[in-house]
Amino acid sequence: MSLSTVQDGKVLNPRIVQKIFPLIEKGPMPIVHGIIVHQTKSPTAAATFNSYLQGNNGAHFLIEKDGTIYQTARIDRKTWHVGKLRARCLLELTCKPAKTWSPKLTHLQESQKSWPQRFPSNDDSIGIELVGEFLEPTKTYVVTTEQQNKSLKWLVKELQTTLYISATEIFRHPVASYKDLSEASTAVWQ
Amino acid sequence: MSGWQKVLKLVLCFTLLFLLTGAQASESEYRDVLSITDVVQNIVDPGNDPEICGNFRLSTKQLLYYFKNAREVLIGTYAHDLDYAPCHVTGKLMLKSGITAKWKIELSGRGSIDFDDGRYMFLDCERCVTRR
Repeated sequence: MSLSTVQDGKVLNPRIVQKIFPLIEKGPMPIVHGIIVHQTKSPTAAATFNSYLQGNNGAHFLIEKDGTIYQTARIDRKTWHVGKLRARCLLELTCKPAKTWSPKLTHLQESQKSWPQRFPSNDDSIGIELVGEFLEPTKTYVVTTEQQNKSLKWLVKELQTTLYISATEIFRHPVASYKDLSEASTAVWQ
Repeated sequence: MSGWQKVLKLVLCFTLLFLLTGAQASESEYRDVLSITDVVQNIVDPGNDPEICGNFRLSTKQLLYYFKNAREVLIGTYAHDLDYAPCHVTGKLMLKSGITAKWKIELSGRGSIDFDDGRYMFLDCERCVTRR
């Protein structure tokens, strides 16, 4: 059972620090079908907050390396966190890849589908960022901390209960979009 | 403006000019490719249909064009903002300065170079990999 309450899109719980950035909110999001788990390119929460102040792309939650959870956008508002959609039917092995590689075209085709024929998108998903960093020598994102994974697990469960999100609708960013495969690869929520 | 202020302004201008042109020279050194070797074409990441990228290959001409013209991007841009593609071409290169490097270019135009002097370079050029 969830112990959180939702007021004006804010998830009120002692474990969540409210730090809403209105400029990353991009219009109403009446329904939520899924959750996308991300990792930031910047190694500090402060750098991500600075970017959010400019109204750039952003997600609804940010989890610090020490496990602190910030809510950065209201859950009834869209944010731009997914990017170009991959074809969900490829993951589910119900279609063959297009003959020409074109993320733009695939995204357009996927955007015309309704959920759950497509992945949850900016229009109907919550984004959770984990503070990360991309390492030059290995060309991979850093491993998520134990505290981050504990907080992620708690937050995902809380959102699932509050918004009735199915466990099958939670994806790492590179599964749903054309992103580096190592992003959030070490994130654990189950 | 007094005489010494004019002199100070001139010194500052020349210093700035020197720093800028110096920086450009060292940057361009890393774009001066002498040779390309050990090219492995159409590597498809595991778990993907081998036909997904339609036999992705880059000719020597395309590679030289890429290394000369691709836009250098910050590591964060490379990691977070550019498209990943499941197919890539890898190889080695030698600069005119003698520095060697390993490189990787994805079908999306995202690329990286690891120079043996410890420098890393991240690049982006979609048109470079699609032009013939």
